Amino acid sequence: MKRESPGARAAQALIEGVGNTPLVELQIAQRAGRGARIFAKLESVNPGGSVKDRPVARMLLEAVAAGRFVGGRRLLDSSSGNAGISYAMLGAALGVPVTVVMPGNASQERLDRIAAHGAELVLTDPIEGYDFALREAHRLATEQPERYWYCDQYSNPDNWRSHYEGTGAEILAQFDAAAGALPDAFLAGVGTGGTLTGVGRRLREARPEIHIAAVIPETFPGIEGLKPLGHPGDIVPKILDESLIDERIAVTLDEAVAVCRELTAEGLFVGPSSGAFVQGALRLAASGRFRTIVTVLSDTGERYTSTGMWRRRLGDSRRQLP
Amino acid sequence: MSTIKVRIPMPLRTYTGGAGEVEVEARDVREALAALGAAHDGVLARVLSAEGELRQFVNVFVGSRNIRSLEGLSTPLAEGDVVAIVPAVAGGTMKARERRLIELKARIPEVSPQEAIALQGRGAALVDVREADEIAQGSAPGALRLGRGFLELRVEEMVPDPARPIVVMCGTGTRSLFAAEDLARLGYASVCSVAGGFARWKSEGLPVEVPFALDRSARERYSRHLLMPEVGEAGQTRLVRSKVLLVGAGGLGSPAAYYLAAAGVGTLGLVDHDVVDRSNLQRQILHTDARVGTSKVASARQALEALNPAVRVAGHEAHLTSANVEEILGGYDVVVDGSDNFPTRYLVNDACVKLGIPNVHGAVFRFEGQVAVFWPGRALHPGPCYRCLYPEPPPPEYAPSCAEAGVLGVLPGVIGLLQATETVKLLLGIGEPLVGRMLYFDALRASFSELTLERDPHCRYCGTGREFPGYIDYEQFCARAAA
Repeated sequence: MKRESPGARAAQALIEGVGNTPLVELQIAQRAGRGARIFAKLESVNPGGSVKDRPVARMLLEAVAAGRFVGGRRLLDSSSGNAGISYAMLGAALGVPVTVVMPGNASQERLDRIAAHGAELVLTDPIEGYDFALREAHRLATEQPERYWYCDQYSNPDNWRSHYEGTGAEILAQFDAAAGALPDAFLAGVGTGGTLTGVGRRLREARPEIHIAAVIPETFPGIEGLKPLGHPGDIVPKILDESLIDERIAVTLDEAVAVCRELTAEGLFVGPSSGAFVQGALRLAASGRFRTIVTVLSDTGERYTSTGMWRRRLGDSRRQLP
Repeated sequence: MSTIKVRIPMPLRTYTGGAGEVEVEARDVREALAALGAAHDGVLARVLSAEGELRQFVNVFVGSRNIRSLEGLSTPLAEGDVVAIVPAVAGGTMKARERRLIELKARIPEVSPQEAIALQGRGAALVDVREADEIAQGSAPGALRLGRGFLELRVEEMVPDPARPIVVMCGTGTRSLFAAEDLARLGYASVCSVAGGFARWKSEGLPVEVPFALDRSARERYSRHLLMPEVGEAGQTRLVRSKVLLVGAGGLGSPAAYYLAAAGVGTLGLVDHDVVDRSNLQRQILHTDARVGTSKVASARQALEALNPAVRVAGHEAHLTSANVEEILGGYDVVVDGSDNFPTRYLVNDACVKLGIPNVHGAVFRFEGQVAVFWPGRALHPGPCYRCLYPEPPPPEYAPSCAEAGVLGVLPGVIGLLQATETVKLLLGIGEPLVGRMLYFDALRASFSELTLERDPHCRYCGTGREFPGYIDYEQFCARAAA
């Protein structure tokens, strides 16, 4: 993408580092024992450490090109963390001032990183949940339209388009090279719906019979970045194309974390949502219905050290006793 | 013990009835969580692992301090402490009930109960979307009662005109907003919601009627019916209010009556003047060995009431004659003919034709049976009557009775249950009844076949434009055929 704003020119190398991530084949697939192969896009190699660099880069560049920040307006959005980091990092590179509304229980790694890039942080009461942060962002945007341009990743179509043109197209090219065919199944979660909608549409166009599954987390404590769909009152993000989803797979946080720990043995260090996707992919593999499955490893595991998920727990050693 | 306030995170409020804070008595965090779990089912499993430790990714704060850096679950609590349960990462749930409500209130017009009555008076449909147990406590007069669960599936039957304004009411005015949005999405042009719902309706002293509803035990008994939208609350209510007359409490009447009682048909009439004979027991399953020699009606009543005490059994220990047939059949919704002789079959047919009652016919012979619904009075697609098919009775040597020819004991079970099935379908108004068709069953070949039965336009009893010719001497009519 070539943009003529001075900020965009200076940040071009950084922006070019977004996307074109490796497609790795997971050895853990053997556990399912049905001969199915699982592939995943390693999104932690993005400059911001997560898949969120993709939509954020696109939404930002489009907004800059459209002159959204003329007169010193700030980019405003809510995030549970990864998008906030991408906004803060790429906003700094492009010279766009950024305000991120986050629940106060976002991990310390996230808060520190966002603040380090000079973004403004608005923290909401964690007890009120993520939805409250979303409402707060909406309120700020409505009350001070001259101060904020509301990026709204939940309804911004550039979010899913970044995955349609980027992640999805990359999978098609890389998959053909790695497996000699297109994938039988694609699995993702739903945060904003951007990945599932963008990649799902691209893959389905290329292979109409592809099976698309969505991972649904338990509601509490939940999985960072994932939304449980299907409960009454749960919001369905505007950009999510639910018609793509053939199957919903429920995964608990404990299962996701266990998979994350196993993946470290393959040299992969990813966060709980990635663990949840791989767990879901293992279920698809175990069903014996698919030969090849593709998913996404959304972010780096380093973002979760403060949660203690990588520490060996008392329980682990206790379970090993005869 | 100290009084402690526990702050509940949004996603766990589904367990606390929406409460953001719960007060408990406790000395430490473990006790506080236990008290919370005792008061609100389901919370604890989300917070603690099976081993009783704090789950990963769940933090508990006392004041502003995380108990992981204090004494864990044993962290002591003092009077007035505030304990907060917080997931370790942001994100997770998006319970957006309130946000949705704000959005909905911006879109869906709200009216007061008084305005709702005025709209109803001007032709609007007032739709009560509350659940059956709430409606049982009372509802607005003239309201269409359509629980939220089946609203979209059934509303078009009750309000076919998308231009007719709809006023939606629920308990307090919340569910009706969601329901109103769904109705608008279905294409209804003008939908509004009653602010404050039925609670406000009642408190403003507006008229209330208590509609008939299934009680708790009926709800349990018929739960498998209620699960099916084709039956559901409305269908089961119809069954409970229905009256079915069984002519004969023998081989066909036994299984039919047994299942109709089980299905909840409210009134079962039984016509039989016989007593139980030991040779009946090979197939007449309402009766028992101990009741040999007692009247079939009394024996059947005992069996049916034991199965379903809610069923009213109306016994007619009489021989059906031209003189009493209308008195006995009148008022029943369906007649099930399980009789064992031709005079009775013709008499039942003629009376059903005259009274416009569908006649569910069943007959058995050795290994064969047949079922049909004779219903010339059917509004849309009338079918033939028994006489269209058999204007004259057959000579006896062509139609020997069970007593003469024998019958496979289970065969009347099959045929009687097909009659019961047709009866339930007729009562519910579902499916395709065996009108104008005869289903024929051959037990030895294990095969069903179907014959099309045409109406005889010149039939003396049901022919188009014919006046009912009156009852005849049926014994003589059939004896003549024998001659």
